[in-house]
Amino acid sequence: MKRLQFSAICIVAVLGCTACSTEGIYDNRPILQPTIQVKNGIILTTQATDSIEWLKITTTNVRRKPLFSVADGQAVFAMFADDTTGNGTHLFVATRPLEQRDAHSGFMLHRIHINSGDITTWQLGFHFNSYAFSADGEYLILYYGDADNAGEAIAESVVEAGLYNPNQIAVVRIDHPSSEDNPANFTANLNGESINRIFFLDPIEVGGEEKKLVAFVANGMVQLVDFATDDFPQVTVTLKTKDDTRAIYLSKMMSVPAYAGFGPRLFSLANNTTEIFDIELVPNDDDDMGFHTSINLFDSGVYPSDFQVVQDGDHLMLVTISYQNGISVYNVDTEAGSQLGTRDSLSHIRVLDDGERLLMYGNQTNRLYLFAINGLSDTNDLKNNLTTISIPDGIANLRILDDDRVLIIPKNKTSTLVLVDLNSGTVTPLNTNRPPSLDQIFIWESILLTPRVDMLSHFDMASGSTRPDIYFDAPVSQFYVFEKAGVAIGLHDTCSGTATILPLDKLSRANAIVKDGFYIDGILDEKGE
Amino acid sequence: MKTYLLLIATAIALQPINAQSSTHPSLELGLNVTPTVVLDDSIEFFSSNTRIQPAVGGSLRLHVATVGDVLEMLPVLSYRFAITDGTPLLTDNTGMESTLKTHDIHLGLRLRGWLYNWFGAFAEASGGLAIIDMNASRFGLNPTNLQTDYHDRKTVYSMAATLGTAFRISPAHLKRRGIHRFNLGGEIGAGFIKRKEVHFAPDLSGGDDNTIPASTTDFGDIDLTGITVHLGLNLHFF
Repeated sequence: MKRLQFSAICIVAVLGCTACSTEGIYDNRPILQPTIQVKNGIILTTQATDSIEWLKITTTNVRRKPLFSVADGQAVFAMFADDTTGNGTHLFVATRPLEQRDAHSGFMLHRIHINSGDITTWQLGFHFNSYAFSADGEYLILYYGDADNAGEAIAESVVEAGLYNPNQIAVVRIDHPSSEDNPANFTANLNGESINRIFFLDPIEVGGEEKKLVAFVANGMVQLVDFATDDFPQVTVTLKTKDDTRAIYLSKMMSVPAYAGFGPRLFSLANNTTEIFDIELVPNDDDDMGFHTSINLFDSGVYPSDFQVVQDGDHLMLVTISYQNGISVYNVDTEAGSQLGTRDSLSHIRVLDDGERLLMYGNQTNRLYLFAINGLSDTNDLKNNLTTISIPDGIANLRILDDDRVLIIPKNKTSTLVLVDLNSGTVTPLNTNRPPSLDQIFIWESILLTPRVDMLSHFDMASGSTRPDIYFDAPVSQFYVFEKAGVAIGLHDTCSGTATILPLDKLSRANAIVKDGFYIDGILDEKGE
Repeated sequence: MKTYLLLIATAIALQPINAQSSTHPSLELGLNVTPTVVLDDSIEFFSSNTRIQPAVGGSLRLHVATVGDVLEMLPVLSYRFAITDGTPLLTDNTGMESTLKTHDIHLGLRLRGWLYNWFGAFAEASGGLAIIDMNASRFGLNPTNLQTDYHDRKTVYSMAATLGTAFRISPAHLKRRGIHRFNLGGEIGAGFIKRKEVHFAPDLSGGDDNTIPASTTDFGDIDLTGITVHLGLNLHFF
């Protein structure tokens, strides 16, 4: 019997053995990795980025769907969503020719609507390495950023062998299809200095016309481009004299519209200088831009770390803080300033309650400073406007939850998270034996979620009551919170694709759902070659 | 003795080229080995990168009639069991251990003619049910309390046809030896089996009492139609 079977197989082996190598058609499939989080799901790509798919997340299911297939002869060199907070609805994919001698493929930018799969394609002339979206979502700027540029950089860095214009800018009008003017190309006149970052300023009215200014920051200068008109007029603002060797890059810019007799102006902060730049936009009909610039400097003698411009009645007040401890307040009109020393070096200012007060803090300090704006312009002693909240274990890192609450990771006690109520000044510690890192803290409504590899801890800040931890069936390799679907998801690293879904409004293990198989659905229908 | 020899000689001389026909039904028991080459490469998910599905089976045949003294008609009841094991390594070091089992239960008809006493040819066609059991067990993530066992069972129609040659010990020879009731033979042939395409849409099981029950997706279709090679051993009862 056995001999018969053996000889039968020998006969049939010649006829039937199609995969005589050791690797079969179901072995070593390309692995899809979750990358960017978007509003309805997670983008998946293979290592070679030749296949882009996505996981659609709903309350009850995780499904893998195709998104974009890279055309033959093309390779992907950049991929980003239209929102960095995880709520993007479109994916942008930039492709270049795979083979350098290919005469027909070019550089292209594709915008894919994730839910519907609709694609818009624009032809690009060059291989950019940085991008920036305008706040209103109308424009996408592509440019060459410098080595440590603060804009969004892409994965593949470019090595240009040939001649290129380092100040070339491509502006894509996102909602319009490809045309001769879209994308629009122009040169930012920065004398060849590479672009450090781009600021999209709030629209500001100058001389009766609304300007949508975009600032291109380079060493010692900033170029303002008006996006309100199609020919993109520009003006370059020099911030330092030619023999000044300091490297000055603007790190914050704020546009302040005309107010009570003041003209419209831009306030800017730069590293490496003690001055705050007040760039006034003076209407001038002769200029292409419609204005020319005039610079005032506010110098407190110390290096400012952050600033805010606030209104107190009829007065415009500039409030700056410094690492070298101290708060400086200037009346912009009179340029009169006063200073208040603090024991702590402060690094950040946030505006709370619509400009009623400012929150100031510094990493590595033991205090939160609350600064009331009202009465700032005619106060004799700045101390009257200041209240502090003591944080006994120090501040290592801070996250503002809303106008009333702040979450702090303390410096000295690593097993605690501290919740501070800014109105009452109450400091509530939340203890844990395994402290989370700041990027692993998620907040949904009043619930604080801190996932770990094996469990999810959640705390309701509104009620203040401790809840039981939710343990997963297997270690979680990635954790996401989807606001739109109202779920939290933990992905487990299995070859079939497994996810544990937890509804955010009723977080408990009893309500958890496990979905499996999204990486291998339809696997038997994939035909080998 | 002489008479005896004379009788045998006469019997041999009178032997027609075709086999003797029986006048009463006889029973046959067959055991066979029928490796199948499945045409759909999806089977490689359940086998070690081969499309060959080894199978063994048995059949029961009843010799009911002989047409024109030549063609024997035998209704057949057969059972075939095929099993393949595989380890699709979906990534570098994680994957599944899979098993596919097929049970075919068929009713059919065999037509057979004996060219010589000991050598003949047959054609068989049958149809019935195939019960297809698909299993996979996922490995790779440790530790885990997740459900890792996939299982699906489908029952579909299946049809088979086989053509081949049959051998047996010459009945005359056996008669001489005084064996009237049995005969032993073998057969070799090739054929085709068609089973309806099935969907592998498994359920998950495993884990422990506290494991959250998981649901999984549809793995796709697999079609177990293939070419068979048929090797058998027959026992005839008269």
